Amino acid sequence: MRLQRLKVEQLRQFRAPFEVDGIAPGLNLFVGPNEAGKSTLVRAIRAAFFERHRSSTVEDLRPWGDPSAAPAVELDFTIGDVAYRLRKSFLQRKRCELKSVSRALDGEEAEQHLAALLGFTFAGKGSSRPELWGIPGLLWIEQGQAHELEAPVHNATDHLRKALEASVGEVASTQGDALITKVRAERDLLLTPSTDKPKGELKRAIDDQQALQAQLVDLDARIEGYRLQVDQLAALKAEHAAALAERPWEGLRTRQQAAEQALSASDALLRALEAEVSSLGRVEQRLALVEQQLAGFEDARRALARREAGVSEAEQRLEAATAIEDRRVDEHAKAQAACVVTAADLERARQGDLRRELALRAADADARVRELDALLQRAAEAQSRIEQLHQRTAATVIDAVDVERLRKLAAALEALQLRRDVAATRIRFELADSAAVTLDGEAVDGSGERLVTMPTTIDVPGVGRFEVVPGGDALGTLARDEADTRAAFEALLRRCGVADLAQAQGRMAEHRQATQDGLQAATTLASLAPKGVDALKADRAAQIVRGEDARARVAMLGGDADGQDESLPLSEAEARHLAARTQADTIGAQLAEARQARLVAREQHEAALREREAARARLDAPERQTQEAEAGRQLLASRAERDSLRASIAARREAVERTQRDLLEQSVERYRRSADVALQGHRERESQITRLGGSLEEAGAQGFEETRAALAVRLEATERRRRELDLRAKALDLLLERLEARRRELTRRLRAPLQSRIDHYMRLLFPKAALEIGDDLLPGLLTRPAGPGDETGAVAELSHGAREQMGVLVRLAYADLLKDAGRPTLLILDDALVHSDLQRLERMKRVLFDAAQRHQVLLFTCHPSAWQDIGVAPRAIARS
Amino acid sequence: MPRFLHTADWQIGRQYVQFPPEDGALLAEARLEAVATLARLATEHAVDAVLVAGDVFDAQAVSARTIRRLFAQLSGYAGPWLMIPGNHDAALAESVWTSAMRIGALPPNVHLALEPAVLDFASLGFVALAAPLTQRHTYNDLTEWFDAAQTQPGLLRIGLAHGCVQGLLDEAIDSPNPIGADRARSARLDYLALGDWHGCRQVDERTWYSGTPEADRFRDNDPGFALLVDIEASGRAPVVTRIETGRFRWRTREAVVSVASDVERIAGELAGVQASDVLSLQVSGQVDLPGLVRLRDAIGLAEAGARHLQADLSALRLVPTAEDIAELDADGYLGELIAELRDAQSAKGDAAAAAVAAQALELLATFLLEGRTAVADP
Repeated sequence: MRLQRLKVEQLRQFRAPFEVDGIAPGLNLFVGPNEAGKSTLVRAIRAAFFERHRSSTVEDLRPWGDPSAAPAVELDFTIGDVAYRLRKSFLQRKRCELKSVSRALDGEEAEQHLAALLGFTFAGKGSSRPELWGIPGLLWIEQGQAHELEAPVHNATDHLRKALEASVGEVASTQGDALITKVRAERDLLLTPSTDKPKGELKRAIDDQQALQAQLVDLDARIEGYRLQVDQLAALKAEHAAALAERPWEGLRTRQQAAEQALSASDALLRALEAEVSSLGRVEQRLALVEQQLAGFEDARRALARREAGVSEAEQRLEAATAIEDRRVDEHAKAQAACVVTAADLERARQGDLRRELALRAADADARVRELDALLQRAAEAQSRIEQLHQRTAATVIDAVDVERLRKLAAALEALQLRRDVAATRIRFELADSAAVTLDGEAVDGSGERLVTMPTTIDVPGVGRFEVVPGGDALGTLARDEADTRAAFEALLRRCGVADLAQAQGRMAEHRQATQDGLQAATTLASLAPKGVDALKADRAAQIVRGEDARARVAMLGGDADGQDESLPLSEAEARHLAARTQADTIGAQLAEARQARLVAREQHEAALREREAARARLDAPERQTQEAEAGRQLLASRAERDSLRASIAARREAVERTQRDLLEQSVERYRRSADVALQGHRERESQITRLGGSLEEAGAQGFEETRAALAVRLEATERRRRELDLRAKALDLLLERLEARRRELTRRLRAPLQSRIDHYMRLLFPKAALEIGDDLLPGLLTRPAGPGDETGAVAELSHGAREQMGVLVRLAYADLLKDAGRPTLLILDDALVHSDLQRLERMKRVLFDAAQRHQVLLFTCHPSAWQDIGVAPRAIARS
Repeated sequence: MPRFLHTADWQIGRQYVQFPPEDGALLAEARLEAVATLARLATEHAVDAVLVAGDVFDAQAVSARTIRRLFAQLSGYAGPWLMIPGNHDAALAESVWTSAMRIGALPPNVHLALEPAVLDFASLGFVALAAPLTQRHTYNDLTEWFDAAQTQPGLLRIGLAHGCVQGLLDEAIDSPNPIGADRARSARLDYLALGDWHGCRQVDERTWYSGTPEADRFRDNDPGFALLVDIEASGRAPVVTRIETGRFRWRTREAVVSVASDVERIAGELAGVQASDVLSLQVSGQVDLPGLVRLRDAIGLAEAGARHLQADLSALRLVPTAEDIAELDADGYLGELIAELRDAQSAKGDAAAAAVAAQALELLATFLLEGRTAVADP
């Protein structure tokens, strides 16, 4: 779309015609100070399109204080290749003409055509409202409204969709949004928006239904109870009538009485039986007494026989005991005699034994005396030897220290001689046999050697004398030492009384030997006489006395101390005597026993004789025979009586059993109780009938079933309403869900091309930022580089200036889409972007310049300097 | 020449569950009015007695007020009213009858047989053999004793019973309270007045169901009558005349819509409804949007005209045509949604889902229609 010419007349401050011609196809900049009329021109364009020419609510177009004005706008524009001229005048002259080459439209028709061309809607009544402005409402930005995007986009959505359907290949819907709003409102009357719970009318219907249902269930239960009670009452009445007709308790009483009579007959029978049973008891008692008496008589007879047998038995026992006693007397005498013999033998054996023992004691004493004599001899010898050794020890005594000094001196002397020999001058000679040489006056011959320590003269006959003088002082010293040592040695020898060292050592050895031998001899003596020699001598004397004593006692015993002994050995004699005495004692005891037994037997015999006499006396008593005969008679009589009673009792008992008393008693009880029960049941039934009748009467008066029927009517109505509302709610829910799903789908398809256009403009505004378009076709999140990373935020949270820029940018993107879809686009910016800083404004100019390559843009501003570099000449707006 | 008015099944206390309470109350009231009408007719036709063959009351436990109101309706006829209990008001140990007697509501000219009995009306020239129900259901023929009942010769023998004549009604084959098909003949009755069947129906020459005097259900079996019975003499065939007593006509109408003219036909029928009509209308089939609008308008009008119109359109499916969719401005995805719902409502299987879809479609169409009206008429 391209606007070419604009003319206004009698419109606000433009009382005189004002025309702007030659509007460029791209960017147009209109400048002017405040109040110059920029906004009036914008308002004029809007009025030309949006306001109905017949509208009476466009008073704002009227010049101030001019009631006869007819505000008029005239526009020349082309859409595609078609040129249009729109003339519209308001208030005093309401006209609308739309002319193109092909057709001329007028009035209402012209307006509808315009609306369809540009994509907006006329108001049914009154002045135009933003929600009707559609696409122009979006692209024509009013002063200070660039940042507002949501409402304009929303208002244009349906037109946009319709306009863009070609480019997105999707069929939009004219009434979709209105319908969704309507359906949601209707649905939300019945269901909660988020949880789909019933609410409003639907909830009321459900609650009512449940309440009525509960009441109905309750009432049904009561009706059922009532019916059951009615049935119960009927049954009770039937039973009652039957009972009155039959009177069953009376029949039962009659039967009870019959049973009672039978029972009393049985009682009489029982009493007779009991009398007979007690008679029988008495007879049997008497019989037992008689039988006891007869048995007593018989017992006495048997007792005499037993006594006589007892007498003969006692006699036999007495005889046997007497015989045994006699035999024991003989045996006892013999045993006593044997005992006397063995006692004499024992005495003899004891004396013999003593004699032998004393003889042995005497011999032993003699032997001890001899032993002690030998010991005393050897002890004397040892004593003399000890004395000898003492003497020798004293003779050979020498000091061991002196001996040691002698030995050391001898050794020192020898060492000195050896040193002298070494130091001495050696004179060796080998002389002819004939030579008579003397050395220090001493002749020497043959060959030999001399050591000289002192000056020595050698005389050789024929020759003269030689004096040999040994050299050095050593020889002299040695010679002095030797002489000293020797003198000490010899002095010591003299003190010890010995000739030489060997003799001294020999004497010391001899002394040690003598001392040792003396000790040994003392030991020997101690072993021979440990307590001393005198003790040995005393012992010897005692032994001699012991031997004498023994021999004296043997002599006193008489007999031959050492002669033959005819007596038995002592131990045998003792054994024989013990055996004989034991035998005699045993027999003695037997004898005493036998004697005692005989005495007892005699006592028993006498007792048996007495008892036999007593028994015989009892049996022979005169009254006993008459008593026995009487008892015999009684026995027979009582037995006969008893047998007859027994037979009678058995018969009676059988008769009693035949009456079956227990059954009779039970029958009485049974009939009595049955009659009671029947009568009581009857009375109870009577009172139950009364009770139940009263309760039913009361219940019936309440008209349950009628109430229930009324309740059922209400319940049915409620249920019907609930079903209807339920179906409506479900249907609305379904509608809403389907409608929204379809709209979402559509929006999704529209979004992609819009996003690509926005990306295009964003590159010009913020090279590295991205603005995301949501499903509602509005900008959502803005992402742009910030420091190290990106930051993301909602557009709504941006500054006023930034939102303004985004608003313009999104509108340009929409315009691109519309253009692509072959729709007319005209952008009007009335003092837009006043909140943008210089840098941002620079970029926005780039954006606008770019958009102006495709669209006609009318830019109104009161800051011409800010737009100097937009690339077009500004047009000043000024009233002529 | 004795003359009787035979009626039965008054069902006093009956309530109409399927109707809105205000309509139901009016229909219940009509039953009482029918009794008053019977009294008036009895007087007009100078009958010797009114024979009421059971089910005077609809239930046992009805309020004292209802009992009193009923008997008050009898005042228009001073002659004898012969009544027997039916299955709804059987003469149980405690029953609506004992309640009525207790509160003294029974007028002296009501002759009530609470147990099998011969009621002697020798002065009027007849005896009545009454076979009341004393239990809710019985499987014995309570009229069997009629055969052996001896009555004074020359008097008419009139039977009163309540139940199902054996072999007469298909649905009554195994039903309780049986009545021998040949009872009138075997018991030498001059007339057997029956109740239980709510339609007016002749069983044989001397046996009739009078039906209920005021219809109470949608069943086209001829309710709403009483019978005027003239018997010249004992042994002569009775002359039976139907007299209309019903105030409301109960009708059911099942219609199938397949072509546009079907809607017109139904609308035409509905236009003819009268204030005495109680109508149940069930429409099935398919209808386009104008047809549905037309049908709803017609139903709306008929609801105002009839006593009650019960319209069930749940089996009727709205099938919008392409023109409908264009007419509704249902362009874009709305058009698609209409098509989707149109298919979903006739989908086999889930009947509930189909019903929801049908309802959704109707709502959608309604909203669109409303929207269009709003635009057209700001």
